[in-house]
Amino acid sequence: MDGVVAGGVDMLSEGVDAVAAEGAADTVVHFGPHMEGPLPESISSTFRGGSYAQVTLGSDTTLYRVYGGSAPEIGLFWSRTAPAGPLQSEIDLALNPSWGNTAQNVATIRVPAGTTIYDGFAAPQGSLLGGGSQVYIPKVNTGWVVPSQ
Amino acid sequence: MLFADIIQQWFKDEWGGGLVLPDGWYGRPYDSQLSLTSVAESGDTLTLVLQKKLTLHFRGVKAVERRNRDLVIGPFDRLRFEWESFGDDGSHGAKDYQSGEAKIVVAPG
Repeated sequence: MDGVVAGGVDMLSEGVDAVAAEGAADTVVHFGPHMEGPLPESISSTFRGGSYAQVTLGSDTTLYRVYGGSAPEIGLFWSRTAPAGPLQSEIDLALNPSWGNTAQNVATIRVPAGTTIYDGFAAPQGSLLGGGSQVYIPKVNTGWVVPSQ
Repeated sequence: MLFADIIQQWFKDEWGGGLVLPDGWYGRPYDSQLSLTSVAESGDTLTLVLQKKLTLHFRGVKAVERRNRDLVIGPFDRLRFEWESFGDDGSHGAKDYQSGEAKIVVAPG
């Protein structure tokens, strides 16, 4: 498992890794310009360098999402990193202002082991640098929501 | 089959989707999994409420169909789209369209 980084995404290696991020190992398959993956360009291009990992979670995993405005609480783009304020989220996640996400609210989900997610880092959008943890999940179960305290 | 029946069946078959209005996506492309709150059809009016916050009032809808996996509503004579913020800021607004089609698009992957 050379080059494994926190969160289970290793953009440097190729092929399949088993990454023990917390508890049981995740199964990780890397895709990018070197190897076309299952996601269409409309989604893969939102990951930095078009690179992402298909991760089958080995243990329950907590993800976060900022929402508000035209962005609903339950959406398909999430992050492994807890938000540090609307402005920071806008920069780190490269939230294009035209998308209308005010990032004023935070949702948390607990994704069960066995779920497949797509994991990487946000690509830049215009002057917004991105680079923050970005997770795409094609189908999100509303039962995964962790009630806010 | 009523348009409302086609719409209800589509939402039963899919997990929901993102909204594309005649002038483009509402919100980030492929970021929504909007559910159907209600659908009502009477005469030439068709009204959908999505995720409790988005209301689409159609007049003169000519067709409702599945296109690939997406739900396509239109062409239509008139659409009034009313939105409320998904956050807690209380903002809201409306926009009118005189032609085109609206789509609920299933996320890829």
